[in-house]
Amino acid sequence: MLPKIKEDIISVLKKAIPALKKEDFTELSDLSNRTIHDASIFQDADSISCAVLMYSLSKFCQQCKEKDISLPNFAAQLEKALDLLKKDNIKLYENKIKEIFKVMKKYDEKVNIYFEEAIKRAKIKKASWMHEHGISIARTAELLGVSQWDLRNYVGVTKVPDKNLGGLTAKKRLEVARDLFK
Amino acid sequence: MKTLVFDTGPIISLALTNLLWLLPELKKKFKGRFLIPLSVKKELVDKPFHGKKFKLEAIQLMQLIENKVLEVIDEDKVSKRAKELIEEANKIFKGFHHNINIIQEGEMEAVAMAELYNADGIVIDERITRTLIEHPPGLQKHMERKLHTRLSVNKQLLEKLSDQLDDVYIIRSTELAAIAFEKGLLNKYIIPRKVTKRDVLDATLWALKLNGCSIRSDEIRKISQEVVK
Repeated sequence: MLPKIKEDIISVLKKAIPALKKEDFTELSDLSNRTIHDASIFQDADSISCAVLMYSLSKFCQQCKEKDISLPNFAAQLEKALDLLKKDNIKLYENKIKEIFKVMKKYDEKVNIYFEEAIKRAKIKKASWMHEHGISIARTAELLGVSQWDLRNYVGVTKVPDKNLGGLTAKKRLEVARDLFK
Repeated sequence: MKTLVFDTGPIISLALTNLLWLLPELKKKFKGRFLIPLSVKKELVDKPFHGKKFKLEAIQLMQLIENKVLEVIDEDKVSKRAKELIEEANKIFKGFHHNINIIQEGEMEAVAMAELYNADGIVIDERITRTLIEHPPGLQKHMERKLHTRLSVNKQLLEKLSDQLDDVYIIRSTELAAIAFEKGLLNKYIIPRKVTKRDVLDATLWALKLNGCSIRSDEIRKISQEVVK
């Protein structure tokens, strides 16, 4: 794990733990975007996994609260993950993150959020964010393990395509098309 | 013979908006070949065929391939050239001394095919690939703003890529729809006094946008004004 990625994930975990303890799930959702910059530049599994985890946790915990289901002690799990990461036990850190996902999956029956679908939605959302940061749709779909069909369908309804990045004007592009079909 | 190469995105946009039927009709007007690389076919057909959600769309696309509306090209030279282009493209921008992989091999295969086959045009809905080819400074500026960091740019590689792809003309699924409209292919949707020509064109362009074509709202307005006079 690159030092910058480690530093940024540590920073996210340090904020996520108190957010979980005071049940501020919006903060968790916001934290999921902090590692997207790293994910876009380095495209490493750990930044991506951290972003997906924070977002999934925010939705999962929100659902538990709404359904009055007692939350598993994710804060304690994240504290262990943080400790492992600080000590450079990267493999054990990654396993701990996977464990947290498994806990959410085990709770699926009670919470009824269809865990697999929830994770898929989290991945699509984070892929869309990475695309907004300048990574192509196909590349982000590949990195997050989602289908281009789902991702394009999602990105289309966001404001992402509305930014003007330059290139041919609409009129010019239409002229090109007319030329091709004359 | 005239050739138009398709990337994955425009075909997905057309499929999700129930407009795949336009492709055989447009091909007749084009009087040439519509080509897709193997990687695009895998994304459009092979992957969704083994799922549930987009299996029907995959089947419809298989029919277009069976009927030779879309021709799948599986040639080593295309994937080899795509690898060369992608090696260059993904070394253009660096953040924190790290090469940023902005596009994926499949996307570059469509571009490589267009180059190798001297295609008359390429249909790409996705804005990153398009902007990399047409206006790289715009992409750099956008990424720096979003990533809150200055990127270093390999100007030599950027110039090389620009020179190599200078003759590649890019349109989107929305321009195909505009042409379809101009050729009267969308007239069947007009209902006198209820659904006007403008309604049909606007609805089609917006449907494509909302299903993944990277086109701005102001561009839709401009196309609509230009086409429906």
